[in-house]
Amino acid sequence: MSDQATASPAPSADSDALLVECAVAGDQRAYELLVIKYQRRIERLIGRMVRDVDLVPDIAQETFIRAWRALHQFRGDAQFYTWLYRIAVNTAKKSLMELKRDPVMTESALQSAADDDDETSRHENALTSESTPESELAAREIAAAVNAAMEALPEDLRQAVTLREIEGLSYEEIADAMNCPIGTVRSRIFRAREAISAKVKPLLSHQTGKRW
Amino acid sequence: MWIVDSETVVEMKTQIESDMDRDTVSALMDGRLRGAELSSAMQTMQRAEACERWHVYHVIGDVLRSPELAAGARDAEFMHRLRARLAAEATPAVRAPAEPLVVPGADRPAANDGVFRWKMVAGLASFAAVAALGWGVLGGIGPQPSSMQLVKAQPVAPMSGSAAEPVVLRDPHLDELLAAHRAATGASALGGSAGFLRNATFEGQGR
Repeated sequence: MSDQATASPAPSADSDALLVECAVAGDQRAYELLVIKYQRRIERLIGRMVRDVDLVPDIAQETFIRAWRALHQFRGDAQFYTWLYRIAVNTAKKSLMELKRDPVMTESALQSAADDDDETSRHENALTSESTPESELAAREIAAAVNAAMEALPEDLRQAVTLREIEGLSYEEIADAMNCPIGTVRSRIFRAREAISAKVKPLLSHQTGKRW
Repeated sequence: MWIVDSETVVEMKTQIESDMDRDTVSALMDGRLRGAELSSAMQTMQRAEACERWHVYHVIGDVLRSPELAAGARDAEFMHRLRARLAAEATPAVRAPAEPLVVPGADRPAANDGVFRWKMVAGLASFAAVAALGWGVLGGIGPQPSSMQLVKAQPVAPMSGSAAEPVVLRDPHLDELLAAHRAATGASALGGSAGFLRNATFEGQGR
């Protein structure tokens, strides 16, 4: 995913570093953009560490608050998400230890505990720790919409966004691969995102306000 | 001939600006913006619709890389709670110094720097004297200048300093010895002449 030595550094890492710089300078919105970007991945990570789905958003909140407090210590020598990942893991572990000392069983955790002896509920427990059937269905719909929108894209737009989002190439590398100017790359990626966004946004709007 | 009314012009202008804003969000996402363009983009991102677009673009990217990340719509409540907590926190830059490991004033000369220099010169002169004596005792080849002559005969360079400070004749050879001593001890030579004598003894044994 990293660029060649003469090209720009890894773009995602570069954009994160820029946002961190703005955030440290006092731009809270810059930090919120990072939260929006990584919230799903962090919650998925936490959801695999803690059993109780109700605890995930609280631990995620705590993770982002801790990251905010320590943001001035982020040197940029590692990727921001790697740094955030470690904070999330430590925060989740701390929460689990606190739960052991002073267990507070939520309703979903109680239900999970009651089903512990039932082998057939193992899958359901796994489902419970990460998502609900409703959210699973919504996720499948969104994934299907993204795939369908990708298939419907003109070849040049599909290729540009694939090289960017999946292969992680820089604009310079994509321009080289597609034999076009960098400005054209930027335009194609933007138009591809717009076209897919038009199909996906209504599904996300339908989900707005729901936990998962 | 096309006749366009003012409302259409305004609509077209709004559409163009909207497209530019969306392109800005896309470019910001890919780390392509710098300087004025970046500043302008951060202004754009203050708007809710720009944030929404940021979210949708990232969902698209996440889903393309890992379909299971399709779960998890933007949780307005989560962000609302987080904003409230962030508002109660100090900004990261205010909370702590940026470089806690930097020794304050390390790049400024110490108040006793002039005195220290005199002590260094005295110590090195002692070392040079002992070295010269030792050389004489061991019967070095060629003329054996006295220690004072040894110091005076070397080309000197005036030490930079303020007009109020006395000018000290510096011996480049002594400067080299000083640098080597600092490298060896990693500290000041405030151990006095005893440290130099130990070094001289070590030097003597090494020959």
